[in-house]
Amino acid sequence: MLSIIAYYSTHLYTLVLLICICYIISLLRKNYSLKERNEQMSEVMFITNMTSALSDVIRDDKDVKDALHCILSTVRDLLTADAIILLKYRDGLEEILSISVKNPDNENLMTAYTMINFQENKNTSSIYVKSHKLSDNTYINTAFSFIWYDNIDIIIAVQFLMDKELKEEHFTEYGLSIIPALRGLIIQALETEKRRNIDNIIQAKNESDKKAIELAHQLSRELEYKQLQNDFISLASHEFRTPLAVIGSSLFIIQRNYSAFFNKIKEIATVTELQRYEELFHKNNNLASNMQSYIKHLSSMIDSTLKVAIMEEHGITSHMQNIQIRPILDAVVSKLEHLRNDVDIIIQDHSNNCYIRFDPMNLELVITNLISNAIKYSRPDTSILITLQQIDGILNLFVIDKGIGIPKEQRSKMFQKFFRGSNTCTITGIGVGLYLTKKLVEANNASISFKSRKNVGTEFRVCFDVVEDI
Amino acid sequence: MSNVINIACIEDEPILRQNLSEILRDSGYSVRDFNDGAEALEYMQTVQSELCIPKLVIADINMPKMTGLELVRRMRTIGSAYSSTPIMLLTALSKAQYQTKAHDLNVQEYLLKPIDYNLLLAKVEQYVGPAH
Repeated sequence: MLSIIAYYSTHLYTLVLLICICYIISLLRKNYSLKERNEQMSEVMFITNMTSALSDVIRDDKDVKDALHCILSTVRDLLTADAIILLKYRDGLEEILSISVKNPDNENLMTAYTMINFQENKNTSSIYVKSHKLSDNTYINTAFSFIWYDNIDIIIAVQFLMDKELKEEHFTEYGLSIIPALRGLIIQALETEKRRNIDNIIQAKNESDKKAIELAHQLSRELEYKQLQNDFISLASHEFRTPLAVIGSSLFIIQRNYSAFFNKIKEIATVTELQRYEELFHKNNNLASNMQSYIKHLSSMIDSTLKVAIMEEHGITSHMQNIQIRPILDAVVSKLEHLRNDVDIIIQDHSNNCYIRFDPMNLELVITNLISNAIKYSRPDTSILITLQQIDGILNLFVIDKGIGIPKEQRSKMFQKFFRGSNTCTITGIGVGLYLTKKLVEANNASISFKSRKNVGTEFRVCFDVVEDI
Repeated sequence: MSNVINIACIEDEPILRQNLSEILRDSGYSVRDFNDGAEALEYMQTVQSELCIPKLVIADINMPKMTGLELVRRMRTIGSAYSSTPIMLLTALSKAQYQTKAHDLNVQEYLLKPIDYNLLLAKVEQYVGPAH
């Protein structure tokens, strides 16, 4: 019995021992699988959380740099690392994209160490660890991982301050196997930023296109308005000229018929009647002539207004050529001298037939404006002196009248548009002639000035450069 | 009758057309007047008699149906009868662009309204001679 008990006791002991061993093994296996599962769960949760954070960033229009910092901080907490640094490296220049440190006092040390060491193995695609002994019992261990993204090197540096060197076999223990997932998220974040930049560019382009269209519409409206304004001036000019032409032609017919009628009367009238009819005829003829000259005057005012309007819209058209002033001066004088019978025009020519460079049509207008003004403002029974004088390569044109002059306080406004002297009283005009004259003179590289004394007269002087080589 | 000088006068403003015709007729010319370019062109295309062909055309520019410039352009292509007919445009349009167009169409005179009618008669005589 004892032998049987001893036999079974030995086996029971063995059995218990076996059961214990099995229990320990199962405990160890259970413990390992739990740790593995925890790690897997952590990784899954991390990726889920970070993907959700990135989605928030995209949805809420947050800065992608915030998302990167959030990712790095979460990973650093998960790994209980001391720092994670994200570097960008391009064309030999490093730039920190994001950084998360446990102790801010160590930031400079961690950054400097990363900067110095990342280049050694930057071409590798795997994770590698670089250890550096800081003191007897302190090591700075850095796990480097690289991303080649959009022609840029992105470096992930996970750093641990430890009392030992970290080896590759410790990767699982310290959770570094999560780094590939981290790489994926960083790429996703960078993609988000890139897409957002593209979206911003597209949006900016769309806005710019929209603005360009708006501006084009605005410009078109303004051009249309200008065209309408221009058309209105042309139309107004046309609408004024046509009635003037009707009045002028009617007046011409009346004068001619009246003249024919008077010639018939002369044949049958007595001497006394003839004298009376002749007086009447001359009186009516003078009235008709006055009407004709006012038609011309009104027409010239329309011309000036239209010219100013065209000049302000299109600028002055000047076809400069080498010309002599005298033929144009003579033509203008013969056209204007009949305007006043009580004013003589005297020309003194010391130009030596020199040439100036000026647009002939512009010059005709300039001379016309100056002489017609002189005629208009001359006192009765006076003369206008027009002098051409060539001195030292300059041709001076003087137009001197003995007219009403310009009050001293108003002389500075002489060339202003629509300015008329306070003493012009009943003398007609709209104040655009001298404004236009000055613009035309300046457009042809000449200059104009004047001297005036009230109730004595006015002297206008236009200076032209003489053309030496003809 | 062979000495009659025909002038075509084209103007849409009735009083001005009437006055212009009267001034020319009183000066001894034969005048045929038209309200617009289309009427004048139709006449020119149909008239056969040498006596009735206008020796001078005085036309406004801004007219309904057909402008004076369009009339000149078409006139020049009708045939040899009108290829060198002197043309005087009597217009209220002073813009340089119209003057340039007129020049390009071989228009002899571009006169702005209101015109001096003594000057007009002098110009007419210059192109077709004195009336008989």
